[in-house]
Amino acid sequence: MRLFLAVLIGKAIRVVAKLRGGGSALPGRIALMIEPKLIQKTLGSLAHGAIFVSGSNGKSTTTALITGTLASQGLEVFSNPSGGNMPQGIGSAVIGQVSWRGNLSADVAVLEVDEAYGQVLSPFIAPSWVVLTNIQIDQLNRFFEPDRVYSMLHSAAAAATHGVVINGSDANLVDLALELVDKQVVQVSVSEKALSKWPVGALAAPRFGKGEAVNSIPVAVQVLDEVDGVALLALGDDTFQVQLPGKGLHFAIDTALAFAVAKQILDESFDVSAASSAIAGQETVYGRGEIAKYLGVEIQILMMKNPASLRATLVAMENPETEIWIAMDEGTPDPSWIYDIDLSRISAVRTISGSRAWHWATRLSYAGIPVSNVQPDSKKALSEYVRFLKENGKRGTLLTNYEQMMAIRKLMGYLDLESGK
Amino acid sequence: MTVTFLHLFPQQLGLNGETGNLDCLVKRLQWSGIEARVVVFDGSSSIPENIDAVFIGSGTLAGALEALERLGDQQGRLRELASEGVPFFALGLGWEILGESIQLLDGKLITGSGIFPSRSVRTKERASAECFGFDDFDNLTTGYANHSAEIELFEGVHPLIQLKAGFGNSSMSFAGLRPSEGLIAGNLMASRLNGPLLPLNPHLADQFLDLVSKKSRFSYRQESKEAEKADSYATRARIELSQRLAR
Repeated sequence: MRLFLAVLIGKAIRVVAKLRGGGSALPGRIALMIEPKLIQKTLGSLAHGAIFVSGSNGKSTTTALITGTLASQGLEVFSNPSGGNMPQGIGSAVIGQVSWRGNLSADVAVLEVDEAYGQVLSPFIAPSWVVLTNIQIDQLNRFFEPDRVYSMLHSAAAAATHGVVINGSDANLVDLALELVDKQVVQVSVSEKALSKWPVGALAAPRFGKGEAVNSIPVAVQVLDEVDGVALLALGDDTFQVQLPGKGLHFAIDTALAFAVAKQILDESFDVSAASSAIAGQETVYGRGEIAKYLGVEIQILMMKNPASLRATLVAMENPETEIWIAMDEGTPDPSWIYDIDLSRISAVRTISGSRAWHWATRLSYAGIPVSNVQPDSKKALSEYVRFLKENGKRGTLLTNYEQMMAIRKLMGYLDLESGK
Repeated sequence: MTVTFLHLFPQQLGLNGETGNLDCLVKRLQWSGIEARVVVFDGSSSIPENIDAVFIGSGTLAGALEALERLGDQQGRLRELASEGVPFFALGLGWEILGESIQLLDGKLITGSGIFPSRSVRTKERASAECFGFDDFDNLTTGYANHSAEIELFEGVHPLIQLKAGFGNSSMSFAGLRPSEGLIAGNLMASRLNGPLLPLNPHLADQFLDLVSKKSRFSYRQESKEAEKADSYATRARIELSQRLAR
């Protein structure tokens, strides 16, 4: 009864929230207040259970890649949308997809899970598999030290009923996996060649006070190389090429993680070529190169969440056609890390917006990068940037944090924030 | 002349934008026509000669303890530099290991370098917040505090900043007090406001560069167009932050 009520009210709120163009976590938050076991009751009985995807970076992309990979194998997959990785967000996704009676038609759930909530979610719904992307420097205002993220991910991984898949190029994750003595653990390994070309793709959090770990974890998938958005992967004795969602070693690792977990679940029946072609046709997760159209101009949106993501974004960024727009607000509570990034790929900045605009302007002046316009108000910044693009007949590039991306997409009239359409 | 900054343990103590401070010091000198460079000490060799100033950043406790261990027999040389009057600027955990001692959560006492007149006790409480206050010259000063230790200044030692909001030398929340932040004692300056404290607070950068110029006998006056622009942005950043916190 509570489940029925939670679904009913959740769905009603969802309709209203969509019309208002925002608040994607709200339906889930309310539904969970009515039925705290919402997620367990709907996702708990799926044939292949729930796969948790966590780590500092690449969660959304890896979740999308696992979803695409498993769907290509004929499985019906439930997933939470990009960024909705806390219990409320997952609850909202459930509300969006269950029937009025609370039934969910799916074989497996693939859930992007916030680092801190893996522990919180695990008692309510035990993950079948836990896939860990990396431990990088991220949200220190909230996590304080990467060492704490390590222990949070450790608890999440320890709750897996079937096994754990890790990115074996991350030394902290190797330590973590070696500590899980009674678990089935496999890794994605990355060749020295690939690592030497893309040091930014695998930028790990520091690891101090520990000796050299012997990485004896069985290899499920190897990343042999990455060239211009095409990965060379090896699965057992077979090597094959995969068209990635974007340029960069991190995309190759994320894809290999998806293939590794699919292989664990499906074993012999895993069809690599079907998976590869499914991934080649996959759209980018929004904020990772999506091109937004607004008032006759095109703006490519690139998201920066933390040092590793900004670094990877800048390395993979095509040369912008013209001066870029940078947007950041208090959604990044401590933007200190912008000083750790080599900004030499940015030659000129047209506009900086959001409450962190002055902070960014200071940083850019020490980097010697010219700034034309500092405009903390996003709405004014958008119209000024659009006018500038129109006058010059150029496509724009927006480098933004998550919160400003959501705000600016809304200003551009993108209403359905859940699916990114 | 070329001003040489010694950057201690950038790997172990450089978690969150710390290099922005060295960038700031070097650029401000260069903008006013003075050559400057940074040399790094990470414990694998000895501390080079002809050091004009020393900088150490913040990081994780594990990183700080590794740095202290790697400092090894070079501790004496570092103390020598400090007692000769070479200016030191230390942030967060870098400051803690250059203090008298650090008491860990399990009660274990770690002996620091004894350069800064302070000692610290690690706490379970964690501070994580934007802060603002004023220095001795009433300059609006802002930054981000992210730490978990009580730092006690030795008697008579003066804090760098008096805060209006945020967390100072204590990581505990306070009620209505004006918390002291950092320290200033002769050639020693320290703060727990992590990351790019100096570019955002150029008055502190120039105060430090004044110490460096007096010790190394060169004249430093910041009148460059570049600094004027960078500092006007930094002023707006501090005003934005303090107005938001004061609301």
